[in-house]
Amino acid sequence: MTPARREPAPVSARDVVELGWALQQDDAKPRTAVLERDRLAAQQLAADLPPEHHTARLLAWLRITRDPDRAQLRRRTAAGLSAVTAGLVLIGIILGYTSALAVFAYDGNQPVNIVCALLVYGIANLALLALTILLVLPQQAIPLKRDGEPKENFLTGLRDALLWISPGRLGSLLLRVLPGDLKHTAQHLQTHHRVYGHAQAWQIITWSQTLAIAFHAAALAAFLQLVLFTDLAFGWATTLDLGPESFHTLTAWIALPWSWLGFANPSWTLVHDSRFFRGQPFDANGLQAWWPFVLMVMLTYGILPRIAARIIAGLLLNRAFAAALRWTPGAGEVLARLAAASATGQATTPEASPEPTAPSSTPAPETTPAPTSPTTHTLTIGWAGLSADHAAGGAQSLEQDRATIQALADTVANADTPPVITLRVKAYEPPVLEILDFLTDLRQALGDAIPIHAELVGQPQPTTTQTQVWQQRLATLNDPWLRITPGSSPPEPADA
Amino acid sequence: MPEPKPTPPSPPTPKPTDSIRGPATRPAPRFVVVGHPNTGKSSLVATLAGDASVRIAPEPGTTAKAREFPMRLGSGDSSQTLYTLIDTPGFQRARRCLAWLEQHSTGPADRADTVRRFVAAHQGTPDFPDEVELLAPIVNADAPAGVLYVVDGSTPYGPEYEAEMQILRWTGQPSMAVINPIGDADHTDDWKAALDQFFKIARVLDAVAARFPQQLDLLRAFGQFRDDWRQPLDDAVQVLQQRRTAQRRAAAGLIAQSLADMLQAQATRKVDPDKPEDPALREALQTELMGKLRKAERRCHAAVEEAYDHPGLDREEADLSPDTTQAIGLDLFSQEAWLLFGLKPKHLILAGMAGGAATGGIVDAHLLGQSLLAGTLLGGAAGAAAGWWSAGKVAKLPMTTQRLLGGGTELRCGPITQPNFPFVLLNRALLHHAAVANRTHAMRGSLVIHTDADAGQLNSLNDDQRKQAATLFKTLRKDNTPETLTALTELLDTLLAD
Repeated sequence: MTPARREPAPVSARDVVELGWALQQDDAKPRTAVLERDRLAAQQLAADLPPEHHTARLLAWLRITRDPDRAQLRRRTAAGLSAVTAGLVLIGIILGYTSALAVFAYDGNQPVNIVCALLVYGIANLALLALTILLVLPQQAIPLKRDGEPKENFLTGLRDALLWISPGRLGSLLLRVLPGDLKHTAQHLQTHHRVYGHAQAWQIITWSQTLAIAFHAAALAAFLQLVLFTDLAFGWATTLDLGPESFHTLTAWIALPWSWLGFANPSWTLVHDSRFFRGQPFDANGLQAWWPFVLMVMLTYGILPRIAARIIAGLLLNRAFAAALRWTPGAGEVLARLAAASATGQATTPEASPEPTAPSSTPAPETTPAPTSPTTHTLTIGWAGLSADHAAGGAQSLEQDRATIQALADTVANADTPPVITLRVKAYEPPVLEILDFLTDLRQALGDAIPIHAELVGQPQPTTTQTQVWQQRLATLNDPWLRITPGSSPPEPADA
Repeated sequence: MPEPKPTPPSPPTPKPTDSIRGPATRPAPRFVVVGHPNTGKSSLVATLAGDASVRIAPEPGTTAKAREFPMRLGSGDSSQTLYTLIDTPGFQRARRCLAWLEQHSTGPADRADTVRRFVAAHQGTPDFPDEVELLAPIVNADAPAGVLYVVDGSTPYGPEYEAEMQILRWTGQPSMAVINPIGDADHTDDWKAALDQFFKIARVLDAVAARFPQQLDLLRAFGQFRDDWRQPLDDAVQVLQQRRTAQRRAAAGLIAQSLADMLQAQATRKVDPDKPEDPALREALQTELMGKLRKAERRCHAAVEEAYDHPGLDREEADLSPDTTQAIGLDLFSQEAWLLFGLKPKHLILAGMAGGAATGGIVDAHLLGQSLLAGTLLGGAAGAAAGWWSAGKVAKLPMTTQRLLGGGTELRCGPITQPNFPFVLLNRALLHHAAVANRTHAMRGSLVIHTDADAGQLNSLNDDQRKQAATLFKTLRKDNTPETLTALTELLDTLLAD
């Protein structure tokens, strides 16, 4: 697998469909598997992919986690969308070509009516484009009533009508014919219309502009074909009360965008001479001079606005796809998981279990109160700075420890009654092996039967947990004469 | 007796931090976390590494083997390790170890070598298993590591620590002490006085409760160990800050989406218009709506927890185990939750006014001022009145009936339209986020937030934020388009950053 790209890429319908489908599939997967997959995915994201690049991160995630099923879904989605586009282009070409053959039909009896060409490739085109713009205007641009609901006026009525005849309404019909997974995905898109609605609308608008471009391109091609390979004569005729002066002014206005080119501007003579009336004979000589004007009309008011609309719609479609991708249900969770695992400090190896404690042949040392009998002689050892008759541990050297043990052994050997040896230890410090070593050496030096008490000194009292820890650890010594006594003294200053 | 404090090296030369160089250009710094048993070494590692799987227990010997926690960026060929933490078992026979070293050393010059010989001599033997585990990575000739010596600042300093610190000094590696107060008692000053004699740097850090900036401060302090570690650790800080930003943004998006869903949530059922209305059905729909909202909130909580790498965190859920002392545990529909998380009457009126005025302002704009701002004034007044009316009230679950296009009637419960409702949701989400974002991976147990302890965090929005939120909520109720969600996410990102 390759690391994710840094720059945000354009979002396509395939990405949106794939993400929706992938996240639906995740719902059925074990949570741990999803977390682990995204942890690995996060590590494959480019290190410098900024967190605010949600789209780029989601696209990268799609790329990294893609499996054959999803790749196939993408191919089928792309194929489906391409088929729709190709179908629309084909329809556009057929309509455009046939419309041109009809508009520019010339059999020598009557010239091609310029008014007709202007209407079909200029005025009608611009009117349809205006309706498209009305359709995509934000809600706020439509006048509102006081309560915030859209006012019922001509514009809103027209808009509602357009929405009613929108091909998007055919979506539910389309659902019935879609195969398995595509149908499921399409249903998902419908269910979450709020997320995908904009993208769907822009997809339809983009398609409609593609169709229009195909229409105008085919009409233009047919027109050029007729100009090149046949003889065409143009004239103008209208029932409206429009004289040559007015028509010349109109053509001058129409030709304004390309007037600076110095051609395709119909002259007064041409306008004047090319007016014709049905059933009346006409002189075709010189009437072919209209064709550059018609060509420029078809280019300027036909195909170019549609190309511009297609480019703008494509850009807005991409934005809508990006927004839909970001707010696809579950996408936020993916981003969250990617964020969490973008830099990971987890251990490379599983934690080893602690060494099992050797089973003790004696029970854990009992916790008993300190001996209070006046006849019992007690010798105390302070571990690591605790005050007592003898010192051990802490700042004492091992030699000094051994000397302490020897001194105690000698005392015990010479005593009439066996004393109790009490090792005062800090309950809040864990019983490290050093203490166990000391107790083992002490037992060896004293011999069996001499009671040794480990007095736990707390802050101020040993806690239950501390006592249990000491009990468990001392039990590993298997010393039946070893007991634990809770001490009551507060910790004493260490003799550092 | 401790030896004199080593002379601190000259200040390191600053290096550019604007780019993170590749792994081939430098070795990643390594830090071995050592100390007496039960001083919180594993807690510190869990917090800094963000690994909740580290075993933490009061019994000594929980950590039996040294474990590496590399902070990695990327994977495969593009993988980069920013730094590595190594968790180790605690010292068990420090004095015996030191005695061995003293016995086998010929002088100060061969001390580090003596430690290496100690490790080699006792590797695999039962004499010093823990000392070998903790010293081996420090004196590893291929990748020597810095030392983080951890002590428990809540227990008194004692002489039993001296041998450990002497051994660490023998390794010759740069070292730093971390005073980690595990309990309530405070012996920090004593510890500082003692540690200052052995370590150039001694920091106090509660490994379990350390907030993110404190964690970064500690990382930056690691950079003072060696000049050539400063840059990688600055890079690491940068990466972690980026991750934190990404986590916060992701959490903001999750909360925004959840709020949008919850503001529009409803429960519906087709009914026969000719039959009398069944009260049980109303109750069932209300229960269904409340269940939906609780579930949505829980899902959001779980996702936010995943964003901060706390998946599967235990949480007190009110309808499962009600506990009125815990803010997070309060049921969404309880009177306590609404009083605690909802806006105060004054704020509610202002928020309602802002939302109403915003809507009225749109009307004025479209009438090109012919209304003489009547829309703004009336809208603001209506919003304020709604805010005053709803102050102190718990969630009301509105029931409506609607004729369906295809015939029949639908009984609908929700969405909840009270102005206070989104603020209750928002403040709960903010409080939960704060608890999760500040939770370290050394913390164990359920996520618990007590109302008394965290009351200051509730209703923390200032006037501008409240107004902005009120306007966005009003829009969201009708239209949760990506644009509105993005605007709310940006506002939430600011609130979460605060």
